[in-house]
Amino acid sequence: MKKWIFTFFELILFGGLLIVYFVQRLNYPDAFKVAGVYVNSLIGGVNSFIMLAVLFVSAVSLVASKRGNRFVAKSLSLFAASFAALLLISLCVEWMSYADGGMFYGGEELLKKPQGVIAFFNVYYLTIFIFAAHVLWGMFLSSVAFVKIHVGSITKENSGVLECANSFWGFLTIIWLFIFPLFYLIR
Amino acid sequence: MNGTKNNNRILSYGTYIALWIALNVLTAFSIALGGMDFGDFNVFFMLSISTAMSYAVLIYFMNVKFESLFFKLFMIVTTVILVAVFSIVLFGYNL
Repeated sequence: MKKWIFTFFELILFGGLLIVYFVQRLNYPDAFKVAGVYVNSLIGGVNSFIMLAVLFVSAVSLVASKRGNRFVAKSLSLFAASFAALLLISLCVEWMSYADGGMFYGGEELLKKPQGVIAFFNVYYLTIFIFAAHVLWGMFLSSVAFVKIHVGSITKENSGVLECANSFWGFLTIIWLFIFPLFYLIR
Repeated sequence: MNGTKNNNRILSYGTYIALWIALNVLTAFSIALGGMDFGDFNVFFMLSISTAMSYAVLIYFMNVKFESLFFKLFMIVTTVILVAVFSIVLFGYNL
């Protein structure tokens, strides 16, 4: 039950961010359509597929653990943590590409743009930064699951942190499924 | 129950593989849709796809499928409250 209480609190956090997005979108409807051109939807698409890969390996790791297949469960937990690291690297690459073009938070090029574009990027950076922090936490959970399966404290009967990691990745995937179209695709 | 191990409350590997492929296909479809211009319907189409994908993640990957009826009702109430908050905010802007 604890994991669900945590999930509902997280839902309030990201729900609040989405409300901020919609309010700003309604304040600057034309600027938000233009602003979508500046974000890299190719990297956004790649991130979506990586996110789905993390979700998949995490879920299958839980199934393997409950079936008593420790080696597969352990390996897939490690894959989940590795894919999460790849996602963080991809987000860093994306942000660096914006920094190079002066479009990073407070960047010279960004400040020359209309107020609505600046508002779009403010919401974008805030949302993605909080999302990336969650990915880091998920990576930690999957790593802990890997270690616990290795030492034998996660068993067929007691999934513990592995189940938490699985739910956490599910929740983050749902969040990404809304972040991706809103920031990267809708213009 | 097909594809389900009731004693452990887990789905089969095959179910997860099929769901994962479906999610990837829908993501690719979303990306393709992003390149087309349907005017204001773009938001509606994409958020509809996201909602359908989220439902699959919630039910199958987060194992809500195996939760009690009380918990499922709790989730429905939470979703309704969230949608109501969104609606109040958006109607406040005359949308």
